[in-house]
Amino acid sequence: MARGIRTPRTAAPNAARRRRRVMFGVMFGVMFGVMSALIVPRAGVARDGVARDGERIESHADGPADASSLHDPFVRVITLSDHNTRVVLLGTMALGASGGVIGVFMLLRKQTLVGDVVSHAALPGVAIAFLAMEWIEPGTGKSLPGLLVGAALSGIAGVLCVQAIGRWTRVKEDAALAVVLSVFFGVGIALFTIVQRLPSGNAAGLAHFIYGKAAAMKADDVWFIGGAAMLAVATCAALFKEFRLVAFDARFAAVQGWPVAVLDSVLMGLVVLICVIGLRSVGLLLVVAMLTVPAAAAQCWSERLATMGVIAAMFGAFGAGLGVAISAAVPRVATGATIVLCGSAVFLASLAVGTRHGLVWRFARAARREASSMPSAEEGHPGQGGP
Amino acid sequence: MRASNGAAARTGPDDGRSEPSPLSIRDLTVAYHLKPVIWDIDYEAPSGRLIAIVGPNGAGKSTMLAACLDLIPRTTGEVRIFGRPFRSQRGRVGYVPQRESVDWDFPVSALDVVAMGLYHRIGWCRPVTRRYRREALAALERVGMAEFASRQIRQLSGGQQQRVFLARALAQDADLYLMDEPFAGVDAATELVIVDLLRDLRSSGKTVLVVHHDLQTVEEYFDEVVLLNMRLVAAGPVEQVFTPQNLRKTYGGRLALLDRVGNRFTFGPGE
Amino acid sequence: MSRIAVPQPVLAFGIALCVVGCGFPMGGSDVGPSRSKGPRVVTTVSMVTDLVREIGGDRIEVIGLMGEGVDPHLYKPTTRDVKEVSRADAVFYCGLMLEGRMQDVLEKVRAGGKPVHAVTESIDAGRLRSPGAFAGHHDPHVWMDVALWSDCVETVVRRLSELDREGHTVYRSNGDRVRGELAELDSYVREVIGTIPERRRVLVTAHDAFGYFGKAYGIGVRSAQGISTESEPGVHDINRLVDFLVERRIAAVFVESSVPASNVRAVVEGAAGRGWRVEIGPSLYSDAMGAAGTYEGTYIGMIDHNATAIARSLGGRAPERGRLGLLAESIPASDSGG
Repeated sequence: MARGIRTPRTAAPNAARRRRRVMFGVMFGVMFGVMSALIVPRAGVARDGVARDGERIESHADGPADASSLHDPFVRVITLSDHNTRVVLLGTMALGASGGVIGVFMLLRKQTLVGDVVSHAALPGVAIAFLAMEWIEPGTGKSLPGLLVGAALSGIAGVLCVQAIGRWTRVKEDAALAVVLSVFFGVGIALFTIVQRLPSGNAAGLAHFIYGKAAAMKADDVWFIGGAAMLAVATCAALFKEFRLVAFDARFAAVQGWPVAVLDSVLMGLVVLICVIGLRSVGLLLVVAMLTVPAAAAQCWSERLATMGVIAAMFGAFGAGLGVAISAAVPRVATGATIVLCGSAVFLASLAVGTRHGLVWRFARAARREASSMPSAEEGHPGQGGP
Repeated sequence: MRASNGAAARTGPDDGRSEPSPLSIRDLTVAYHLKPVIWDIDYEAPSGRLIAIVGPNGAGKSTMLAACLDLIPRTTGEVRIFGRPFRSQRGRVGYVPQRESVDWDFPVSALDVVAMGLYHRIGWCRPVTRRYRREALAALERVGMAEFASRQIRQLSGGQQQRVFLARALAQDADLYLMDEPFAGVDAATELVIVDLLRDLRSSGKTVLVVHHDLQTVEEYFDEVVLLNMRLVAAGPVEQVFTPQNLRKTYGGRLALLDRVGNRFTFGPGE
Repeated sequence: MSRIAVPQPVLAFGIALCVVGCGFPMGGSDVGPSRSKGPRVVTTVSMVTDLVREIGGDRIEVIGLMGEGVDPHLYKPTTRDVKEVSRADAVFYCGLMLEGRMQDVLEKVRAGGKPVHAVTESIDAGRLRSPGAFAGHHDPHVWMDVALWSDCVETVVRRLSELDREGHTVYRSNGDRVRGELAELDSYVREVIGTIPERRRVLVTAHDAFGYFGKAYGIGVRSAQGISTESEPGVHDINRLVDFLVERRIAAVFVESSVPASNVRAVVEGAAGRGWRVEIGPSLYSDAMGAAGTYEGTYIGMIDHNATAIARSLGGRAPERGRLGLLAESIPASDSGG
């Protein structure tokens, strides 16, 4: 046997791996520090040199603010000089990154639509939670933690229904997904017509769960989203090999004694977590995009699971960031939609120029093969190794 | 020539050995939705042998393996691995599932797959360190796949994929190996590698049960055979059990196949 | 071997939901005392309900579809609403696309021959606002200008008289009374808003409901969302509003009872991020009135509350409990120096 041959991985010195781990930890710390520094509102000196006392200001009837008194919106976005922009940016980037990581695992298990089911099935849960809280104590209906718990429970119920249908009826999984998704969503809309007649129903902003209100994100929201996102990513990192094993060969995992059902449930729990934190920002209709699009784009660049996860996180964060930047620079553009559009643009670009089977490279290779008159090497020979 | 009908036959080299049989099945019945797939299986595997499990399609061969490994629930019966329930003996059992049971488009390298055999030793939440990678690489070397370690599994041929699966089982360093059709769809070179490997394992005293599909190679490769067609037809050393009569009982009306086998079959010396 | 069509838990869940939904106590629908005779009039928004009820008096039965806290821009009519509308003798709605999602139903009923009237139908188009952002449509929040709303009295009187000729005199005298009350209210609002120091006279709310208010009583207006709550502000719009608050030194912004407060809160936080503290004033009634049976549940009470709250929060002078001392909660005066 060729004992002298070493793979690149085993040849890498321990120091490199330790360095990588340290860098990872530092990155987390820096992100945390940046988050705190940027979000905490600054008291004291008002920006833009506007004096605080004694200036007379004419009141306009209802004219728009004088545009020339503002900086150019693009500059303001780039320098992150607006508190709201910073807040929305951080929150949505955290959502995008964590959605990308979780999405990679869902993609590999061919369960991407489960995220869609969870988010759509969450709708009746929100309405029921509102109604329950109003029934118990009128006026408390719009308590956000209660609504999010309702959303999570309802989303989980949707997934359980899909599994139940798959196990006890003839209906195949894709049909089961469609049925559960539409039934739950329909029930949710029906419940909302009840909710809209209640005094605090509209003020609770339940309709916003559908379309999201990313622009109205506050610092508290970002702490919650950031915390949840970090929890999700940390869980994926810790259980990386377990998730990978269960996704690849669940039978072998069971034989080895790994609790496959528990691990599945943990992953499902992370999906529900992402959906819940995404509900308020991009809304339940678009949350599935945060889970699927960055992961699908990452597939075009790498074949190693860990690398895919990192790339998906980067794409998710970048898409979110770009979307927020556009929404901050251009008036009257809904933030949730721009985020998804930017993510999709990244995906299309990856399809075209991604190093793995990108369309551009495929065309180039085909053209080169046409041009050369030599017969191609035998088909089926194992190709070059991946990055 | 004697057909043994389900009676437990222990013909291991050391009959007086204190260690219990690597695989002991009593009265095993498995049913899906009230429809029995296998029933009344009694079997004790001798230790240190290469044992083939043969039978027609749908005979329940894979089901039997799965039932032994607690992958599917048993309707009745019990299975003992080295005298204890499977749960407590996981570390001593290596498993090679059917190649089709896995999606080979999954983005993972050959080395990563082999390392999966070591996960239960690495433990929860810990990364696969260099030490374990070395062990995985050693397993790959044994199957002749060392230079493909960092190759993505989707780029491997059928035979190479099968070898990766075997390496993973080897990495488990077990005493009993259960393999589900490892010879299915592999090229000649791989087949030789696998046979060599099996013989290596036998000489180290391991017991290997293999679900095998190719009747023509049973006598050549294996010491013992289990004939299964939903019930146990016969089990025991190949020379004694692998008879046309037993085969007819196992395979039912597939006479063309049996005749072909029967033609090759010669009575052993002294029988 | 039974194959279940729908998993029983889901089926039971769905049935339970329907049962609960039917039996759930509705805060929304506002049914007046039932009469055996007299025309049955269905109204949409609570301001219209109040107006029609005041003018019609005991002679008619008024059923309001939207109650306290309901957002008319987003309101989708239920089957029960459609049934009420089809059983009614006449329908009064606000018009100018306020009840955005009910237009189909109203058109269909009108086409069927029933008297369906917008109370704003006789307002001269020249007095309506048409802010550019709303693409050629008029701003429907006319009730915010008491004098303009007073013009709708005539429409209601006339249409009710058409419906019920015998009650003409009653409707006419009620109409005159209402007009008188509204005139007093109008001068009160003008007075208290006028006491707000000029440099602080800007009203910032959740959505653009107070355009007519601003135009009539001389106070600037800005908001996060546009005319309709169906549109959602982007980051840019939030930032612009924060700029406005900081540069104009706005002391207080206002949330509304029928619109979620999240946009307003985000804007306040943004201003805090630039070092400018903004108070959140009392909740205003914009597209819906208060609870039925309370003073704020009438048009006069609603406007009284709004004007008093705005005036006191921005540094003006107004009685703590409104014009007649009838407000349920006393409005705190603004104490921020500026």
